[in-house]
Amino acid sequence: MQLVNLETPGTIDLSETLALNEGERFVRLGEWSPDSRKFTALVGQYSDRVPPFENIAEDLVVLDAQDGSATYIATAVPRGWRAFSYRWLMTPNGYTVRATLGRGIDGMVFRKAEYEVPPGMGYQLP
Amino acid sequence: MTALKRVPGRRGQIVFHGMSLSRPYHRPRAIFAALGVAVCAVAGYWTLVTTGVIQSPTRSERVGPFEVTFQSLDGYGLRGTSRTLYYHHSSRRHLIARSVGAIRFNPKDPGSVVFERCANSEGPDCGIHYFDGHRNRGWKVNDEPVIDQSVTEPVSWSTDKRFMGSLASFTCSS
Repeated sequence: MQLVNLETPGTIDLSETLALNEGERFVRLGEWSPDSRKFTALVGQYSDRVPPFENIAEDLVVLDAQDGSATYIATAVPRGWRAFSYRWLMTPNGYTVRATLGRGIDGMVFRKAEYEVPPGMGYQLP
Repeated sequence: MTALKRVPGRRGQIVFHGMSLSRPYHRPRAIFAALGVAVCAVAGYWTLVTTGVIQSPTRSERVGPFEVTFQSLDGYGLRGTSRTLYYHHSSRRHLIARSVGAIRFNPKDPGSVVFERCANSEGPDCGIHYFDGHRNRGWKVNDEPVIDQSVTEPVSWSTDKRFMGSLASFTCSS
C-alpha cells in the first residue's frame, strides 16, 4: 500500500507499517478526514479458510498522511467493517474516528489489548 | 496517352485504343491486371501496417475534460495499444503525454489525473505523473509505479487533492 504525495515528490510505503506481508492479510482503502491529514485503512484477515470466507477480522487503522504513522482503532468481527460503521469526529486536537455498531448487527467490536489507543480515539463496545 | 471513350452507336462498349474490351481475347488480360493491382495494394498496405509505417485507426474516450486515445499497434506479430492523454481547455485539445500506462482520474475533481509514463522502463520522465487541470500543468510525483495497471483497483484521493492512497505493490505472502 502506497501513500503518494502529489505536491512534493515523496511516496510512503505503508506495507511494512501495516504488516501486510505477514500472513494472509488484505487491506481496503478507507476514508480521508475532512482536513485531509489522516485517512483510514481496513486491514483484514480471514478467520476461516473455506469459502465464502464469512468470518473476517478487520482492523480499523488511522494513518497520518504527513509521516505515515498508523494508529489502531478497533477490530470488527466476524464480518469486518462492511457490517459496522465509523465516522470522523472533530475534536480540539483534530479529527478522530468513532466506530459504532451497524443496525441489526449482532457482531462484536473489540480492541486488541496489545495496541495503544490514544485519548480521543473513541469507540463503542456493544 | 491512352483514352477511354464511348463510341456513338456502340452502346455499352468501352473502347481502348480503338479496341473493344468486350472482345474475348482482351478480357483475361484486363482482369489479370486488375487482380494484380488489387493484390499489390493489399500486400503493400499490410507491409506498411506491420512495419509501423502507417498505423491503424484510433479510438478515443472522454472522461470529463480529459481525452484518452487508444492507438492499436500491430507489427512483426506483436500487438499492443498505445494510449495518449489529452486535456481539453478553452475549446482546445492539449497533449499531456504519449505512451501512458495506468490512469486514475479523480472522481471528486474532474480536472485531476494521475498517470504512469513508460511502464517497465527507466528514464527521466518515467514514473508516476500528476496533472492538475486547474493550474494547467503537471509534474512527476514518483519514480516507481505506485498505481496498478488494473483498471478496477481503486485509489483514494484526499479531500484537498494533496495525497493519494493506492493499494499497489501490496504483496501477500502466505
